[in-house]
Amino acid sequence: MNERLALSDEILLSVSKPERYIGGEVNSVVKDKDDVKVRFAFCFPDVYEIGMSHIGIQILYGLFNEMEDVWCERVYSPWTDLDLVMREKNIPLFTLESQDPVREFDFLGFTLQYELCYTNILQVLDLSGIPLKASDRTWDDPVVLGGGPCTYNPEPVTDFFDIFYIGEGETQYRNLFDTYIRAREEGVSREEFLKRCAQIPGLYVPSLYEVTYNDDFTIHAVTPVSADVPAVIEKELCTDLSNTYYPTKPVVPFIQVVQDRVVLEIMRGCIRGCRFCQAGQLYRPTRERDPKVLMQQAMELLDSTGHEEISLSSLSSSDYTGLKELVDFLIDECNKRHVNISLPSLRIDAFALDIMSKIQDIKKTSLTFAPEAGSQRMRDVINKGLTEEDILHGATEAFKGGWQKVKLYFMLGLPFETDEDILGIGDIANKIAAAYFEAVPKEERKSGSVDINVSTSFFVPKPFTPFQWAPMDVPEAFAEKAGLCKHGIRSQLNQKRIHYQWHETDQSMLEGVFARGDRRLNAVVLKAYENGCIYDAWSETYRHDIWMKTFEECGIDPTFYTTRVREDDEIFPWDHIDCGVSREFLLREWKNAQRSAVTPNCRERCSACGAGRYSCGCCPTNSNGDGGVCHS
Amino acid sequence: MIRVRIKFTKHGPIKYLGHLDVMRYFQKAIRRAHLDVKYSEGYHPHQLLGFAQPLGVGITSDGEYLDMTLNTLPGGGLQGVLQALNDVMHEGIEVIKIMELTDTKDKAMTQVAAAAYTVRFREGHAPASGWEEALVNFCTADTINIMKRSKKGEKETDIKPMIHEVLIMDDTICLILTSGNEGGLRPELLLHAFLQSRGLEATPATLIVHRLDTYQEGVDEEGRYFEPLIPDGSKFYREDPLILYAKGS
Repeated sequence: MNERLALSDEILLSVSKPERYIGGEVNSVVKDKDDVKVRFAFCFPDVYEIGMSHIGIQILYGLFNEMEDVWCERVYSPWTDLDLVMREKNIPLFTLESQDPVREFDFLGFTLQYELCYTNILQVLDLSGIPLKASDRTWDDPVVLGGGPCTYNPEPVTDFFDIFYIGEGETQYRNLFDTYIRAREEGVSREEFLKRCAQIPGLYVPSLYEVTYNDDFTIHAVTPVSADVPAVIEKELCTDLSNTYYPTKPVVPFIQVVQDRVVLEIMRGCIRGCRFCQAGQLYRPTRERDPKVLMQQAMELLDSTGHEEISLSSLSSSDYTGLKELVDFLIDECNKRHVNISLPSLRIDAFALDIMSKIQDIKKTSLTFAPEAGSQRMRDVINKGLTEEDILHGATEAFKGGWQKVKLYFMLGLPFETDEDILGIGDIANKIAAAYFEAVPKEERKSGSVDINVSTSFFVPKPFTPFQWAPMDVPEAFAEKAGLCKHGIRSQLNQKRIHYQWHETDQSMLEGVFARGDRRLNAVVLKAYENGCIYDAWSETYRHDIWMKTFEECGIDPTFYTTRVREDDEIFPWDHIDCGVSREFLLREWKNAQRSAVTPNCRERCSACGAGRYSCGCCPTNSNGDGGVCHS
Repeated sequence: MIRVRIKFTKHGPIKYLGHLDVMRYFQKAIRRAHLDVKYSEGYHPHQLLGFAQPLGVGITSDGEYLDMTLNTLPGGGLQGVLQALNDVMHEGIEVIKIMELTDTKDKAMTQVAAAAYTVRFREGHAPASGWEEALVNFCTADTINIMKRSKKGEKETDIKPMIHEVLIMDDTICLILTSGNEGGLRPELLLHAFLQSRGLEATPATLIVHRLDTYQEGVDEEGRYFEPLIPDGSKFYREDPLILYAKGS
């Protein structure tokens, strides 16, 4: 462990959770900086407990540190208390492992997991003493890089980044590091280096593209500044997950973090094609990892971390074809080791209930359903292949098995929504309560009764989804809809058994602005940061008033990005990025949504989304895979 | 089934780990060491561990104790347990002793009676010269009433009976203070009260505190004494408190 900490005892004893800043966790990697050619500071721009829970960083941290000439370290946003101290005392931001200033590094890589982290990026740059704007940086500064889901439309933050990496990180980083090492050895300019990077697949150098606007501020064109810069940047992906690097010695935090367990990544992508879901499109095609490989990884991970829980990670675990084989193995192995198993994103059916009864205390755990919408018509619009019958059947079986708690997740503000769809939420919650009283005779209702928790969030249209054309509701409409939903629940027969909560509307609005934002928003992000905004994803620190004032100062109307109706042929700010699925497919799906027409999942029938070009995973173009075969 | 007690040290930046995190740290280390530790029953089994006395954040120690129950001993017996733990231990935490517990009534948590500390003022935080005599005077008073927080809330308490030794040598204050489940005296509380009596303000960074050892109580023909939770032959007999400024030593 590094005995020399960047912060003095005085400071560490005066801030909350000093363990966030001392590094030295089990499995963290320390190298000699003189033995490496590339020093990479990897940042999740949020507080330690959030950032340490992200599996993507753990993967790339392990992958980079396997490289002999690279040392990857971690840095997170200092919490607001330390932020103030560092500004006051002029202490430069440092990485956890070496405790060296971030500014001394070759690369500073950010993962952009949600839009509301954008001011925290500026916080990290600012505290590091790195010029906020890429155009002001020299070779004295690290190359600032962005990756993660938000980089599929990184336009609102292009001013602050030298490079964006589009897609899965396992494939091109070695290429990038080699390009960097060569450029530094040859002594070329930073501009020349960035031009070379633009030739690497998946790398987007925003300064090499020019954006022109129409009079109404919609995009006229996005053009490369020279002919040798590719006009479109195509995402990177791993075609064979079973033979892709996965870390077996992840860093084990001292303090409790959100994801305090072994995470097995069983699958990337999702066959379902829900029309609101961005991840479901970005990670196509669906690719599974061999259960035999996962069993081996599970044991190595439990050995190296000592974690007391293991969790499966995927967008839809029930669709993983090796689930039974893997779970049977895990139940056996984890029983021996006294390790808990957690299985998120399971569809509730007989198989799931059987597994859950083996690994959970039924009385204490909830069943989770995500119908997302209150009526069948609306579920058809969003292509959520879950029927009322599925839910009631699953719930009835579960009630007979002893479960009493149910969680239901819905969205409000979906496209083409009517009052009936919203009132349907109360209906379905009531029917589930009724199913309990029908399934469980009075004498068997031992302790308590059925307990139904309804939760609604507000729909935010995202790029690269069929709903990228959809107008978003204004906050006032959201509040009205939450009121209507509440009224719908309160007028039910079993309303006493139903609890309802909804999420804040203001933050959803801001998320909506940045999700489909353009380069004009860079000025707003910078100004909001200068006006004091950080940690916008935290309701306790989010300052809606400052954001609204900032939009006004910048002369930008936020509703341009949210409530505006977009024409079918409008050029979007993100159209020069190719996420693997075609715009034609997304538009087809947008039209299907308008007709409430359901599209089958990838295993039932290929819908020619465009991801077939990768010839892997579930696609019929994959000659070795499970492509196009119906498994149900 | 065998119950063992280990003694461990805590040095360096790891002093910032709070008590709950040290517990979590050991739970994971025991798994990594593949020790056949006994678990509780139920859906969420937990290891049967018992820590002697929580250590405050920022305090280093040479004398922390932890009891655990093992189903079987690894090869190498007790030393094998010590070795297996140290092989997966983090820099800054080292297991230095182990003993078998033969009496089921022996529980570190309830046996704790006192603890020994060294305390220094952090650079720039020491009061004006002459504080040594003042501290001796403060501690020799018949009663020392201060506001002290207990499980029932804050109330005025006489801490004098909890002071067993105050020995000032150069810039270091050696303390032996009552400790344990039934209420004890933390060195910061005593020193902060002293500073306050001089009209000085204390911050969490004023003092550098180090725990030397944690003691249980015993009786022999010479009287009542304190000794380490894994006894090593050393005994500290409880007579009148020793309060002394060893000037020029």
